[in-house]
Amino acid sequence: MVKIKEVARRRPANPYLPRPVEILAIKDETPDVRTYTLRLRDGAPFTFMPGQFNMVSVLGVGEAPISFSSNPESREALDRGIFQHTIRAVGNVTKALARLQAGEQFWVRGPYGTGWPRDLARRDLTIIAGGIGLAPLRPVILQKLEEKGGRLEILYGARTPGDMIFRDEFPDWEARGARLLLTVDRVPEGENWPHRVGLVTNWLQEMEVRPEQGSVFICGPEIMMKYVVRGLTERNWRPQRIFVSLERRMECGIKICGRCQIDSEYVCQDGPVFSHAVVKDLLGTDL
Amino acid sequence: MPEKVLQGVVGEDAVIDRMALTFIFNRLRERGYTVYGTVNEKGTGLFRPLGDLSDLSLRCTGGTLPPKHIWYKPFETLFAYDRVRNHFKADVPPVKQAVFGIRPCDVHALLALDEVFLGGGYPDPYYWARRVELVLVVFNCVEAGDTCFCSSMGTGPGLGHDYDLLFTELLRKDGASGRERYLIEIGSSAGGELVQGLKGEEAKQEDHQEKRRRLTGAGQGNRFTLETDRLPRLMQEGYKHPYWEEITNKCFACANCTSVCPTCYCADIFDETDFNLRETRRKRRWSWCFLVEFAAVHGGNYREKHIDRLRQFMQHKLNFSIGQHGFFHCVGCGRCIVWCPANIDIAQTGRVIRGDA
Ligand SMILES: Cc1cc2nc3c(=O)[nH]c(=O)nc-3n(C[C@H](O)[C@H](O)[C@H](O)COP(=O)(O)OP(=O)(O)OC[C@H]3O[C@@H](n4cnc5c(N)ncnc54)[C@H](O)[C@@H]3O)c2cc1C
Ligand code: SF4
Ligand code: SF4
Ligand code: FES
Repeated sequence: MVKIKEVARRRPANPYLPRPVEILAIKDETPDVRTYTLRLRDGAPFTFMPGQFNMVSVLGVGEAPISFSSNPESREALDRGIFQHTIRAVGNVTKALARLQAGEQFWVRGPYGTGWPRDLARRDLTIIAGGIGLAPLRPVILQKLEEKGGRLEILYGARTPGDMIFRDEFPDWEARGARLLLTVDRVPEGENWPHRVGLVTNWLQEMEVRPEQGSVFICGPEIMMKYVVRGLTERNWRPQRIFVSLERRMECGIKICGRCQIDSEYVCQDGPVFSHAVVKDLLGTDL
Repeated sequence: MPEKVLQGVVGEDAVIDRMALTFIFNRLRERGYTVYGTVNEKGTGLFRPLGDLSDLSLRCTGGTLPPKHIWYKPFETLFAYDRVRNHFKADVPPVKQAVFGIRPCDVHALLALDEVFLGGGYPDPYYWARRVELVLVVFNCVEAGDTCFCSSMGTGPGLGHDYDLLFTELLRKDGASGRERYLIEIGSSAGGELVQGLKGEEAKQEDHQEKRRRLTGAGQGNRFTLETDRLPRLMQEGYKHPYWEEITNKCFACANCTSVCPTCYCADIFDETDFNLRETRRKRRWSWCFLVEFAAVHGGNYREKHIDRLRQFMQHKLNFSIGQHGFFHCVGCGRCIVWCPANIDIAQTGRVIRGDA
């Protein structure tokens, strides 16, 4: 219980104040997704864990939760405080971000939330992602490619080949030992697509990482995660080895505004990364 | 009657008359406090700043609306950003506020909000500023309201902790009910300071016995009840109980219930900019899980269905809050029952789901 007399002594720091970040570079991933390379305006270091997110602001427009998409242990991260966000323009804030150019700035506060479990990421790992859901998993991928411990398998699905983010990095990931299983819902006429077609759930049988040795990290639309988890469960995966990153409406990121609640869990701080052992009983979602 | 001059020590008590209220009220005003109390406006009891003690109406038991707005503003500015000066303004000086006539259930609701706003990793400085100097002059309930079930929820009709001053109305000397004699108890040094030098009578054992008798009577007067033993588990098991459909069919989704609840804390955060584009203010306003857009995101809405929103409200109060904070976020104030145009009743819902009704 909060004891108000004890709390009274110290005025809390204001957790709502954002810090300015400078856009060092912007890369177009797809027609509506861009990756921003960023650094705090004051040059201070910025540390985070893969899976965590920032509340990203355009002052005058609003705020939105956005995951980190870069490796927090890369040279440029450690030496120069550089980090990345990969953002799909869908609404007020994200569309305002899409209008910014390199050299301009926006605002962040964070990092918030739980990360992907580091110890399990070091062992055999399958990553299953849908669409923009690959963004919060890229830090795990990049870390793992550096470490070279345990196998790495990436099952990634998108609507069309053109909707795949980080596509130009795939050859490098494969060259460094990752096994990629790519699939799309449909291939536009005239396009050459040498990979799979169909939902990611159709390709679970191609997984080589075994339930006894490995873990699975999943991020994508909730309906997709639901079916993936169901498929994994049928293949004897235990809930303790399955991790999902959930999305909910967020206004504060710090467990105060109440918007991100699922049952007793606050996605912003108890998540967004949850073990399936925790979320499997969450009602309504039946995840 | 032996006279007693209060020293202002925590735990001290006395029997006082109505004039004591004036004494305390004036002292709070001298100390610079804004004093809130229930004001009867056209039959509606609202917590308003009191200009004069005669505005205070102790008849409206807990107030038709809760006193929540005193510590959690319906609208407030989290910061203002000046583009020209590249400067943030986010001042939060503590404010001196007191509530006269707050009831035990609402004190419990305040404690619930304390956990939300101050109990996590990022305490809220705005709530903090209105909370740290807050003075609670609590009135125990000697009569139950029409829809209260505080005795079920363990939040009333009497309060045993977290008050600065506690009043319990006693019977008049001629035995009739009236608002002239009170047992006063000091719960904190801040409360003690307010009554130091106040004259009253020595409180006798009979007076405490009378207090207990009246509180027991008020508790028995709770016409609404809800057994809370194993309630969270039973609510969880009853997630798909047909009763949810039944009440959803009656519910207008007007969100009255959540709007009047003293423990609801959900919010929207949004930006507002001057016409000349110089200053942006980031603001917070109350929001409610009953609103359709509450859980909407790009590509979907996690609680689009009416039944899911009604269920979220009640499950949060009677089940999820236990997982979050270890106590119920329903304090049994009964306001959501009063305000529901469809006669939907959270206590009744709890009873049906647990199989007691
Ligand atoms: C933990 C977390 C991490 C995330 N990471 C990323 C990431 O790395 N990259 C990324 O691109 N996205 C990410 N997202 C998603 C991203 O936060 C949202 O797309 C973003 O919040 C949209 O904000 P916006 O202001 O642009 O859109 P908004 O203007 O808020 O609109 C978004 C959608 O919400 C709905 N909506 C909004 N307001 C209302 C209303 N009043 N009534 C009804 N519906 C409404 C609409 O359907 C609209 O399409 C993440 C989300 C979470 C929770
Ligand atoms: S849920 Fe209803 S009875 Fe319970 S505290 Fe809220 S308004 Fe009062
Ligand atoms: S007050 Fe009654 S009718 Fe209105 S939303 Fe609440 S339960 Fe439904
Ligand atoms: S985003 Fe506000 S409580 Fe989680």
